[in-house]
Amino acid sequence: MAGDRLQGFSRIARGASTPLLLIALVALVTVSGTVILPAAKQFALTEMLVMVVIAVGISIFISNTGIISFGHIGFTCLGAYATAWMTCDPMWKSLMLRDLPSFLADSQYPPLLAILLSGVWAAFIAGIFGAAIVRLSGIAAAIATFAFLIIVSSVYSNWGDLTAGTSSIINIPTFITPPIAACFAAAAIIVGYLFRASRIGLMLRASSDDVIAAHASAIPVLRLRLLAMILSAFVAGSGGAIYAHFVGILSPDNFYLSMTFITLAMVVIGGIGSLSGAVVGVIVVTIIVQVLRLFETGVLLGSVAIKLPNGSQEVGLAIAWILFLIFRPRGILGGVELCLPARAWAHRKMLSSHLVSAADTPRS
Amino acid sequence: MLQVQSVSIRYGRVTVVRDLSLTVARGELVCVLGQNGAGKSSVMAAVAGGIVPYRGNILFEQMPILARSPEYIARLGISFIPEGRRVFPELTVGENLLVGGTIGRGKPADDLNDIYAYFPRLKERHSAPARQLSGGEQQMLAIGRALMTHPTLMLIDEPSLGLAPRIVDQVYEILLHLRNDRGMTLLVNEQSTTRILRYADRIYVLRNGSIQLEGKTGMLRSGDAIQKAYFGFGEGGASMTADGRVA
Amino acid sequence: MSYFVQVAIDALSLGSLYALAALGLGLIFSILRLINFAHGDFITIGAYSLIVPSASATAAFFIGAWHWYAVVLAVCIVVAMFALLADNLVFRWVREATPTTLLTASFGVSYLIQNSVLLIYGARPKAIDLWPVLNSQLSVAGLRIPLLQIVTILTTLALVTVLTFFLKFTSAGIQMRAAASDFTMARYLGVRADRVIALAFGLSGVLAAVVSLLFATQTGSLSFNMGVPIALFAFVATVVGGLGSLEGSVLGGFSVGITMTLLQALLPISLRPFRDAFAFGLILLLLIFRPSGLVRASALVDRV
Repeated sequence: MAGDRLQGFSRIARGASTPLLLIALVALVTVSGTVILPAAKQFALTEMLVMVVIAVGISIFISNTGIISFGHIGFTCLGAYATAWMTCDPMWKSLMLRDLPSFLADSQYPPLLAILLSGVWAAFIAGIFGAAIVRLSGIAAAIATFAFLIIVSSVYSNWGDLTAGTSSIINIPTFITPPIAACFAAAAIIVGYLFRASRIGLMLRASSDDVIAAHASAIPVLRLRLLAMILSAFVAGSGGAIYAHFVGILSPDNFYLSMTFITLAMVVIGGIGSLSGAVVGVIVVTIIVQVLRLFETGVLLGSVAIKLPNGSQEVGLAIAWILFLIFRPRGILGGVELCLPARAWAHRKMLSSHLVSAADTPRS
Repeated sequence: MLQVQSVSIRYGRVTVVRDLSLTVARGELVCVLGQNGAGKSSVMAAVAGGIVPYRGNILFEQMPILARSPEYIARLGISFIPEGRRVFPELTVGENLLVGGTIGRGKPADDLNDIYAYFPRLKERHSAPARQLSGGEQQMLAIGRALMTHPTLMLIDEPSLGLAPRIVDQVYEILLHLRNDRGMTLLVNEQSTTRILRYADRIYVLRNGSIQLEGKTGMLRSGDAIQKAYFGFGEGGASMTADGRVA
Repeated sequence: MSYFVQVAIDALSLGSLYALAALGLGLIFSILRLINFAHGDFITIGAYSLIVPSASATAAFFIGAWHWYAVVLAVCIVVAMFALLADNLVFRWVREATPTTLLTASFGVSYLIQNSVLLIYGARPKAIDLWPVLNSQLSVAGLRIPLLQIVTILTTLALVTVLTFFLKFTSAGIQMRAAASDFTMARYLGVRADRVIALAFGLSGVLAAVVSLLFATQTGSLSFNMGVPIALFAFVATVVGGLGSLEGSVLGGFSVGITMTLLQALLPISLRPFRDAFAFGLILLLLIFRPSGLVRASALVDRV
């Protein structure tokens, strides 16, 4: 067993260039963003960094289990509201959120603690939900996750005394600046990497390739999937909490189809099979959207003014997403992790997912 | 009539057929023998258009048909009955046959009568869902359905699979009849060697994706050569009995 | 007693709408294994084709102003063409992909359509008044029944009958059923894949068009995401009925309609807004305990 431990550590150490590279990338984007962008645009930068947390959370599940989840924004929603419950002003809570249990309504918790606990809350729900659906096959599981999203959205939209329903929760303490968001993003990346490089991550990816062989090798596939779901919900839920402290206002509409589309697009475009894909996907999609947004407000090219109609960002993103799905289903990175060239091969084989392409052909 | 030239087929990284060539002349009944996994189903599927080999050529009446769609190849006159019959289970017998009539060379009603004359059993059960038929009846249905497309070449993958010996004999009688009375050309895949030697004009023996042996059945009667080719040198375990049965 | 009849007709009418929508979904799924999430957006397109493209809050009728035969025909053609376009531009290129990838692709198409409608027509819902005569009520045996509900039920019955006839007795229909059963085998027999698929999308589009007309008449309003709730419930209906079976889709549609109406009638008032949650909770339970659905179609049952 000591030998296994040693092997595990060395494997994690060998691949460490990946999270370091990704964190460096995030740091680079953050620093250049804070310096180059006008104050008005810092918002977009922070938003991108928060999305990294959420996308990494989703990727922890998708890239390791090979199951596409449409429901992770449900966990994001759970986390966001949980932190709102914990950190909003008690007087306001007792007025607006009458169904809130007293330990939440009467107190106000420090935000960092609240973020952590929100993640735990999402993970807890994931444990219950995951245990129920872990047996399901690919498409059935995907449908189940979709059902989860809708249930969460419906409950949160309608339970006014718990969530303020469609009128928003306001005045959540905001303190997320780009550097802080970048730290959270880095933390998420580290968590994502450690899971991938761990024995559990390895076993999961092996079994997503060939379930029968996995069962035969005594890999507890179902238990591992559940673990992946719980951890991914923790990260996605924390991401939701961070998002709440970033925008300061919450409404269940924020966490429904639109965010699901966007995060899915990010993961697909960057590359479903890897952690690096999620991070790169967020950055690329943000750039696409911001460029389109710029054209929406009007851009002067030489002497020609170009102004795209409102709504072009979403249309542009949809087109990009579809094009990627058709022509490069593996995403920009092709499911491979970014790493330093030295000793790249052993590392790549170890960490690259067998679920490399979003358009995996079925085995018959 | 059919020429398969140096065809290689790969699934992912696994090569299942290696540089394989075979020919079938008009009016012949050719048999490809091989164990499970030898590659014979892949070859047939490639001819029928279901699989695209990554190398090689396939010519039908001197026309290249590699990588053409299955429906195009069906319209050329090649009919494929895959392993396991693959009748449409929820459709009735009559409807199964009508699907074969899609190509529409003749009038569907006339064609149907023709098939029913051939297979009276099918006429009796013409409104039963195909999944209720026995194995032998399904095989008749599959053959009848293929005949509805007015083929000149029939590809049949393991017609004896899962059928009782008596039924297998009946099936082979039909195939023989098709060859003799209708001038049908037939390419048949099989695992069991015995009966087919009675009917085939020529056989190929396939192992691990390549042809180990080919020849006219008359000249290969000895069985020993076939056994060696089928199982591989020194791999035996089974033996061939006097009447050519592999046990 | 009369209250009961009223509820029954409500249920049947709602069920009919969902059955039509589910049928459209089921047709495509049975042949292509594609769960077309964009089906709801086809419905949206059908509704928006009635008006002149503009972003203003009041809508001017375009096709909607024609004689009703022409409206129905025109909308059917428009939606069928968009369905075929979606296939040609997107779905055709991912034919070999897993059902999950196909679902993801349809997500993308849905997002594209919704935001394109948003771009062209603006975000504000528009009020329209299509066929106001249908919103009048019939007096029958002491009950007041909206004419639209009767029309919906009758239209559904008619369409389902026509479709059944088509699938059972025409050559094209038998080809479609064969393709739904075993696509590759059908192709080996000479069935033209592209034609069958085009037919499926065309029929699916027509069904979506009918739903859009009924829905637009009922609600009197157009919005860019109006098709989403219908798509979601049609989706529930196909899963409930058994993915891959057309009878299942119809059965599922009626089941969902009846269940939703009953929930609306029987749930305590405080719980009524959670109808959607209940519906999807039911789906979850079904997926866990009976993934093959009401009509044993095994599309979701794992082989392992």
